[in-house]
Amino acid sequence: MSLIHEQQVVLDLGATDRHEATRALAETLAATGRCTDLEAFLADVRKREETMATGLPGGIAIPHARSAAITEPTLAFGRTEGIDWGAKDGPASLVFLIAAPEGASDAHMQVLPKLAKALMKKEFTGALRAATTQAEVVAIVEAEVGDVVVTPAPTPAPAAAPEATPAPASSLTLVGVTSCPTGIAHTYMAAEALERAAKEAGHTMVVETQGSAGATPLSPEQIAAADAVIFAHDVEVRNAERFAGKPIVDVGVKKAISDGPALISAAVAKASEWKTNPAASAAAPAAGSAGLATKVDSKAGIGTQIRQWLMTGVSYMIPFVAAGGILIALSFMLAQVALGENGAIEIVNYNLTSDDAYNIAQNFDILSLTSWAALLFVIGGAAFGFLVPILSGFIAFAIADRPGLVPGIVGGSIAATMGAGFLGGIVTGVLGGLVAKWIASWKVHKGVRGVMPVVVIPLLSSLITLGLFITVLGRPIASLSDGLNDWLTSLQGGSAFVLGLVLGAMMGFDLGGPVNKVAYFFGTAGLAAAGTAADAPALTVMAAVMGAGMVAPLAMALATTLRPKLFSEPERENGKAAWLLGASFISEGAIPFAAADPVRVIVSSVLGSALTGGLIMIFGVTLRAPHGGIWVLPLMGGFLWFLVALAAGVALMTTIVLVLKSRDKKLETVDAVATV
Amino acid sequence: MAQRTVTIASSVGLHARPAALFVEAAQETGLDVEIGRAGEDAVDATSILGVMALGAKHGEEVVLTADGEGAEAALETLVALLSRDLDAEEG
Repeated sequence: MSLIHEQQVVLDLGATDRHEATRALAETLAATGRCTDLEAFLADVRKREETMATGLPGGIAIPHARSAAITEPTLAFGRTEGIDWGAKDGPASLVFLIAAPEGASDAHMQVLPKLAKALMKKEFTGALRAATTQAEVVAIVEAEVGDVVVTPAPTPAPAAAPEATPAPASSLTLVGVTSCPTGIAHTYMAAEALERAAKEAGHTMVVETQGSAGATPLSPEQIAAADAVIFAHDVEVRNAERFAGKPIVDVGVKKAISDGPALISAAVAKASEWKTNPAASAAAPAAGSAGLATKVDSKAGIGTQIRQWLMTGVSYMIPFVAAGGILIALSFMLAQVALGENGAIEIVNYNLTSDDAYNIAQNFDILSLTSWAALLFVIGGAAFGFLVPILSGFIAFAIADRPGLVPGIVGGSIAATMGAGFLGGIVTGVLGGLVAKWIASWKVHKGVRGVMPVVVIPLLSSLITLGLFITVLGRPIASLSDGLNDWLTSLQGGSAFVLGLVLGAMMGFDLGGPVNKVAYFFGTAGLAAAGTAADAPALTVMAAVMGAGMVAPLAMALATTLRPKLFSEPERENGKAAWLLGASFISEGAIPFAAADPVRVIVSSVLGSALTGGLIMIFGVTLRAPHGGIWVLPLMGGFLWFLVALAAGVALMTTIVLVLKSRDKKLETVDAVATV
Repeated sequence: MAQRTVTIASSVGLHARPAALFVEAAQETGLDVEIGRAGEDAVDATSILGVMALGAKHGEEVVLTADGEGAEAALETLVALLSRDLDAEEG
């Protein structure tokens, strides 16, 4: 497979010594999943470097190591201002970090001679020094060094090598699984690329596409007959335990699309390696007793792992946000038509449980536009009810696979019920997943092992997770809400601008969570108190709360439009829906962004929302509706000023979030990995 | 012109570190030493890049040539070096 990847190129390392430079390059290998243990790998490189410096004449350094932490032979490249690397003729400015898996001496030996040959050419080093983009470097290196496909059976004696190489004519049976966060395009493109590449190489291949259209699972017979397995995925492979004991090539989904033939060769290599030594090359996911291992567990640093957990949860939650949010927005539109100006306010009274005329199940009238609006509202609301449980459940799923679903979903539901919002859901998801994973790691008696994933893990993990959340973690959240409410009341006497800032910041802080709800209830409670008064300060508070609550989704929608590259594919998809959600005052439209990248999104959301809140208080915009977004603009006093304040907050938040995101290069790498 | 044929003993071949040790030794001789596979173009044994580019593997035979005074003795030293498993000697 491809030896060097754009993400493994650092045009300016900015390091001052060779350890720093080596670490920066090794981190790129960790980010692309080729290094599973950064520290272990760095220790191996350092050990090698101590034995003999790897600086070469001509300003070149080639730190290198074979290491158990490396999954495939690979190169990382970086340029420096000149670091002393032990070469006699001066400091090194071109650094190649060469990494090879433990024992893969052949691969190592294929890379070095080619690279050395290339480095002797002035054109090669000159081109590397002049390159301005990462893609350019990759092209230069690949043209010279080419793709090194690991030859199987790294036998020390060259005489034995020819026998170990699989005969090209032999046809193997391969199976694969492809998946991507949205499950729409890349899953199927990758499957097609793999099947085509396998066919061209004379092998038989069946791919299971775990996309949003649902998967047609591989039959146990197909799996049993397979010589090797290819996982090309960016979300966890479902039921990976089915492939236990098989040689597995595990890569991101993009790899399959861009480089199918190389993956097939890698799988063939693994298959022949596996035949000679099944234990060594059997895939890691096979090792767990209940098959609970997931991709995110073993391949990345803890920060990347957490991000991948959150992204998994978010990718499952997005359809709920889209379906629920759009239904509610449509409901508001219909209600405006059916009920006039107050339609969007009236419609939120409908439900499925009350005994009065607002019970839409009992009072649905097929000819009434109001009924249809109410129906859409109730369905949309029901879908929204699943946001936190699904988010929490699939975060836990990413951590612990299926056994994580129960503590995750139930925990998320409790978090929502307790008013802990999506922040609570993240807590229950991570907690539930970790607890389930921990229980799954217990060494248990053979007789119990069979019922572990079905009974024991869900039972105990739910008990522990929810017990902890309800008794310990829930209370601080409750007191947080109470304290905030008291504090807000005391603030009301202060300057209107400060109040607007505070309420706005709260609206933007957790996007539908407890802090947001405190601010929102403060607004609506004031509305009730104001009654029919023509111009009460409470009406301005309500306008400030609503304006602030619209900022985050609109700003994220704008941000994904302006700088799509900073966002993953599911985030960009969600950005489209966020326009409508934000316009309808559905702050939850920004949750997928905040859940995937809490710090940056929340910081910018708080600032942008606060600005809008403060401005509306200054402008004295009034609003009698507790909800409705742009659909209740006609109800406002001074709606033009409302729009001005909203635009200012959106512009501020968009700017901040883009600056924060683009400043972090590592984030771009992570996003690129998650992008499918 | 002195010439010797030697089998690479390093278990992972004449790659970076063994290559560097060999090149250092070749430079110490002060002679023009070349290394190559039989029948192929030889490379300058005092150039680390050249030796690495050769990519001689474990068990492969390479031909060393040197010219000048003390060439025979110098090659003996280098042959002795290549006949050891340089990889096994790391710390």
